[in-house]
Amino acid sequence: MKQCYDWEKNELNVEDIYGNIFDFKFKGQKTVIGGDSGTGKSFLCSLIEKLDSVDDTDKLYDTSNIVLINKKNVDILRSLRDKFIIIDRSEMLLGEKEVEFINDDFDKNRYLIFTRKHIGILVSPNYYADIKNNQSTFTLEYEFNVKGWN
Amino acid sequence: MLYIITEDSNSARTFWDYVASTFRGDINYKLMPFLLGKDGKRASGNTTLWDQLEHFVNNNKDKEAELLLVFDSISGSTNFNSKSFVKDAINLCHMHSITLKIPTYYCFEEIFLSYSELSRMLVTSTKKKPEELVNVIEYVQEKLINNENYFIANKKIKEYIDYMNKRGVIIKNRERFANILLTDITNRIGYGWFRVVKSGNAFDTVARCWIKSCEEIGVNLSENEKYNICDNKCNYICKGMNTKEKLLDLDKKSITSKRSYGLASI
Repeated sequence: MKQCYDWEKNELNVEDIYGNIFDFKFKGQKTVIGGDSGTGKSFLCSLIEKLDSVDDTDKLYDTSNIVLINKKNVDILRSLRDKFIIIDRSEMLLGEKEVEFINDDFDKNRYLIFTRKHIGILVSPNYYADIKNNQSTFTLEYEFNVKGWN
Repeated sequence: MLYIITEDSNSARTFWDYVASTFRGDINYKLMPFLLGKDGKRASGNTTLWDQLEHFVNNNKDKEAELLLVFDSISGSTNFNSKSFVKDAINLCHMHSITLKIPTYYCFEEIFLSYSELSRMLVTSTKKKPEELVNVIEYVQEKLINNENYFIANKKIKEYIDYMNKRGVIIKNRERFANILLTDITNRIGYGWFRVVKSGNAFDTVARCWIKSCEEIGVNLSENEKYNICDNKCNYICKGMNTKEKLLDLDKKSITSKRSYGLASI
């Protein structure tokens, strides 16, 4: 079974049955992705949700180190350890306390945060990315890569 | 002409004021005054940066203007998206043919934290070597020199956070960590005035030995004080030097030498 998110490499790599590939290389512990609708944010979330719901025997990908946060499970955020946490529509899901918790977490989990507006996640410009779609391969593009801002 | 805009009136503003004065000369730079808020008082903080920037751009008549924008921390805050700000600031300055400079550090304290003399100053200050603190600063320096984030799941970092927590000091983010660590270390330097604190005019008071010339500092000391504090005890590598020499040493032995804008080339 392939690992969907590789903790050592800090990379997410997954392909759906139609040949859409997500090949995300992260630079740090938290990555914030903004941008308009239709760029692939929710697409990735629903793909991982589907992969996760498959019976263990039929699973192509191991998603055990990934947690998708949604309306129903946002309360579990504080109990998570060593997880790659993906939050779609975080501007709607996260309140002040959840944002504070994520900001305070520098060593427990890693985060991929999709948001349509600034919610107060404290990261340098180096960790803001956009999704680029090149012939069904989705990658991350970082606008800033200033050495001292790592 | 170089123009400098800062978030607020803390130590970083004083520091860059000294740097510009030293390497540009007083007639070649201007520290921009803060704007007045609705209450008639000086408005500061990172959320005022855009207003300060717009005000500068709209009133600028200098065709060769260079603008230095000084953040306390590049991570932004709850109400301030640093990425959007930097992007917009670059575009605005480009449209108005203004050369924009932004210090390439995560937070101001990291200039001093990365200064290679710091651990030696700490060790030679006390009879009992503060082993754990030396380990932390050496780890932080190694990461900074390699342009890596040091505020990660690391044993030394966690132990220092725990150590501070037990003393009632809560550290939740990198900027706070850098601030506490720098104050802690510089507070332990057992001679002169090296204590870097964020608020106020530290480089004119409790941290003046980093920047002010030793001659100037000595003017206000009695012969006895000069002997006890400076001649007899001081172990600073720039002992007896002037502002320019001190800043050049800091520039040479800290992250500024490895980044886009060194102090001397401001």
